[in-house]
Amino acid sequence: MNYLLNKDNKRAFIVTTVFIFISVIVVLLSLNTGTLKISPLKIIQTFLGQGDFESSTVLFDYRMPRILITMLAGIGLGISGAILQGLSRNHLADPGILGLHAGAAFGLIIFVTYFHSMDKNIALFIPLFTFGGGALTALLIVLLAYDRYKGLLPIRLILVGIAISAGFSAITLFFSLRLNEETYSFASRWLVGNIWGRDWINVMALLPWILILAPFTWIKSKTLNALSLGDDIASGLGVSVEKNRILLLAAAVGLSCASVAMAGGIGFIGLVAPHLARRLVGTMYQHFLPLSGLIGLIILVLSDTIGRSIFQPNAIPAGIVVAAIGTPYFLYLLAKTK
Amino acid sequence: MKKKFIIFISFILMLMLSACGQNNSNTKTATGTEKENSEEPRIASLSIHLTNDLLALGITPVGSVIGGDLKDFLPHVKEQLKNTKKLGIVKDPDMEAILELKPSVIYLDKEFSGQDISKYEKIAPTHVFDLDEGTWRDHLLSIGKLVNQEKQAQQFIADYEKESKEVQALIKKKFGEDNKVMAIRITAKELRVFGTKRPMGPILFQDLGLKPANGIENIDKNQPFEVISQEVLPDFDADAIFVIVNRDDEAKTAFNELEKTAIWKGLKAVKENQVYLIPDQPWLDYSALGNKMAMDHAKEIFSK
Amino acid sequence: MLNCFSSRILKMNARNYLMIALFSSIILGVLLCMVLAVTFGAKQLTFHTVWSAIFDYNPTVTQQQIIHELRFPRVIGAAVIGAAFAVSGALMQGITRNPLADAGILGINGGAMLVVALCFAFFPSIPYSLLMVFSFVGALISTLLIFLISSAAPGGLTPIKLTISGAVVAAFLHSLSTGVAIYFNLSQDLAFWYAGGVAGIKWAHLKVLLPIILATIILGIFLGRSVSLLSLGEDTAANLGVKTNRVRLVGIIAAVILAGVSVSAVGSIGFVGLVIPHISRKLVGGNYQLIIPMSALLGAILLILADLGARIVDPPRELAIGIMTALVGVPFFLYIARKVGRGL
Repeated sequence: MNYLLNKDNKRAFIVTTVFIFISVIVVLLSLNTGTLKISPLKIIQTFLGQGDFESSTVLFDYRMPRILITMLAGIGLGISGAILQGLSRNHLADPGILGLHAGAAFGLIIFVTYFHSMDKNIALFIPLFTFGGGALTALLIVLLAYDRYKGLLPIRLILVGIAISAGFSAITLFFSLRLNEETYSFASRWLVGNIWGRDWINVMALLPWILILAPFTWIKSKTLNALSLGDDIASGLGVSVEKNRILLLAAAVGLSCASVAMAGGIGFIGLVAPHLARRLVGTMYQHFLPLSGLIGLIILVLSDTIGRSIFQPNAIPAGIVVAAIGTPYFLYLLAKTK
Repeated sequence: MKKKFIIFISFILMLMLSACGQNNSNTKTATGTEKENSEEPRIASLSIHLTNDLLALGITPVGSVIGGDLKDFLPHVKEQLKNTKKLGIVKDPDMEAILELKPSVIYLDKEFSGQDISKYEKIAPTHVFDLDEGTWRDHLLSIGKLVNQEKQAQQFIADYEKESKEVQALIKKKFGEDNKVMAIRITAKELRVFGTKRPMGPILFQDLGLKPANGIENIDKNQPFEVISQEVLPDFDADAIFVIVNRDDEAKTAFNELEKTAIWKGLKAVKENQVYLIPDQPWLDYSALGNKMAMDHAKEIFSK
Repeated sequence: MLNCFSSRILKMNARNYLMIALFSSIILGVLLCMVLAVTFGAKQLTFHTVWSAIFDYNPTVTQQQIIHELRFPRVIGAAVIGAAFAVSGALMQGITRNPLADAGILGINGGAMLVVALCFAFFPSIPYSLLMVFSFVGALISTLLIFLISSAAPGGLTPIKLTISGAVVAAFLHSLSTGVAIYFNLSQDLAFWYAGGVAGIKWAHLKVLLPIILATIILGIFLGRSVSLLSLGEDTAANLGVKTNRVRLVGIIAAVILAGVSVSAVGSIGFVGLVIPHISRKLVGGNYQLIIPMSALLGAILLILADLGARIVDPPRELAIGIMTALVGVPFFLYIARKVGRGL
């Protein structure tokens, strides 16, 4: 047993290292994509503080903030999906499908309706609003999916999520049709997942959420392992089921809603990243949780790079590229798991 | 596990630190490299309307944003801008392209770029215009001052006013004094009525001296148009209607369908053959050049 | 013996009379709603004008023109489309034995929407009748996809799997449609499609829509007996001589035609197909021969009222009709989802 675990540890370590390597390459690739051509060598020079005005402005003012947001959002969505799949014991769970994104969108629309702008300093509050919307959704879902005798029913969680998602989408649509054309087109691009944050302030708005919640979730890996085995086994292992479930659900809501605030309603990462990670390193959360975040990062950075480079001049929001890549994979996965 | 955790955190921290550090050092370089160009100014325009104000003075900007719907320069000035670099759409401008151009000055529209002034100032000195304040005449004059072409700007406006008087006389001859008009725009799914705000309000109700139809003045003064139901179209009771049909085929079909309805045929303006189809550009381009071209078009219409 | 038999006939008759009374009162309700919906709108009209527009039409009066050209097609359109969505939902619920089935939730509308978006992008001047065919094809493809996915998953086709994979596919198709819309600058247009709306329905559309939808609904009623048996369980139905596969195929195609055609006319309007069959079942029992016509009538009422509500809540603006149906539909979905979840 011990030997097996060690072997798993080693495998997870190697795979994670490989994926860190891949993500570095992807990030460098993305840093190199843009109107202004900068050679990879110059990028490295610039990073070492030897760049000229032009390349350092492009890299640090224009490209870095966006890429960092993309990276953080990818991590947030990947981990959030992994948590939700464990909690609902359903591999089809995803913050988008569970309705958290619809709730976050609701929060954003409320924000836009009241503040009428995406002014720089107000941007810091956007994650709070989307989190508020997401938390409201989660609360509704939990309340409605809660059974007096059986506790929180995982399957019902998803069904209720789908319904709540539809409801919040309708309300959001109601508000967004009342916006003027400019704000409306922003909102509609946001809804499908457009990385709109371009400045360091947007990075700062997102960073604390990921920096606190991602490690927190990792520390809770063992609890997640137990919970994903079933309530009886979990409480048998000495885990207080309800308390931890609520706590982890809140973490998942925080991770996904903060990411969504800056990167738009990106679906499928929360679905695909944990799947892929689980296939690579097994079902132990301490192994696949970081990997799930990394894969989320890679998918999102890659999608954003593709969206803004190939489809010029009409840049396609990253969320759509993610859907186009993610869904076929998801279908393949479903067909294979006979 | 703890070890990996530390690696994970330090990885992120490292990334952040290196990025922030670089960010600071780079602001210093920015102020250092700012340079004044004594010769002809290399202007980058972050507003399609300011671009056309510049063109009215015979100045071609080195770079300009493009129209958001068209994904290109406006059709009536496309030829004049063939050597101008496209800088993306104003809501999401291509900062890298602006930087690459190395303009000597950047013209901004307060409405869209007001929040990002510091970003542009890093590249070159900026001038911010509030297009909601004053008319295109004021914008043209202040641009004239900036590029030392005040005379030309004044001349352009004088020419325009002269032409405007001519067209007003033509209209009086044709319509008489008390005729009321409205302007509508047909999109694939909507019927819009223009209010008194720019772009359509000033040229129709001031420069052409036309009177607004019933209810036009009740339209929100802060909005360029209002979406209405076909049902209330007869209530405006307009003597003449200016119609803009969007460029897409669906809008054209929608207009063809509207023309076939008895409601449309029953309108006073339609019965009296006072429907004027006008193109969206230059009529909706609220700039010196755009309004001048629209005025030329109006002269053509009413000379017949 | 004889006595017993005659009492049964009497009972049957009593039930039949009840049904006839129920149906005629609901038909009356549909007519009442239609008159109500024609009377209210952006322009104030009196009931008298409506009356004379119906019975004494004078084509030179502007107000009567408004009623004839704008309000009639709109209200009749709402009624027909409401009936179509409701019957489509009833058929799907019966055949898949899934109380959560609805063209919107299952992502069938999503497929139709994607194809409509593609048509807007590549063949903008496509005639309406052809658009409808494409929309149907889109709906069919997404239906196939959803059924394939949910039956491929371990454990076979269950209501919950169908619903979840439907939601996944719907999300996917939705984001693809938006992608097409953004890339080809259709976003404004497509927003109206998502919101759904019957405002644009003209007589020309109705000429194509009406016969197809009515014929398909009648086909559905004929299928009713087999669907009722099928809804009891596959084995039971087969033992009673129902050709289960054929009924299922024809039923699903009918449901997809109804959904696809409706989406091509008004965009995606969710929840009608979910809510109405449940109410109908409460009213007339488990017989689909009655459920289907009842759903058609109630669906018509719901959509006429939703459209009317959308028009008069905030005049002169019009709300999206999908918001009105969601207002009714979401609480209902939650109620049913709780019931379904309890069985687990």
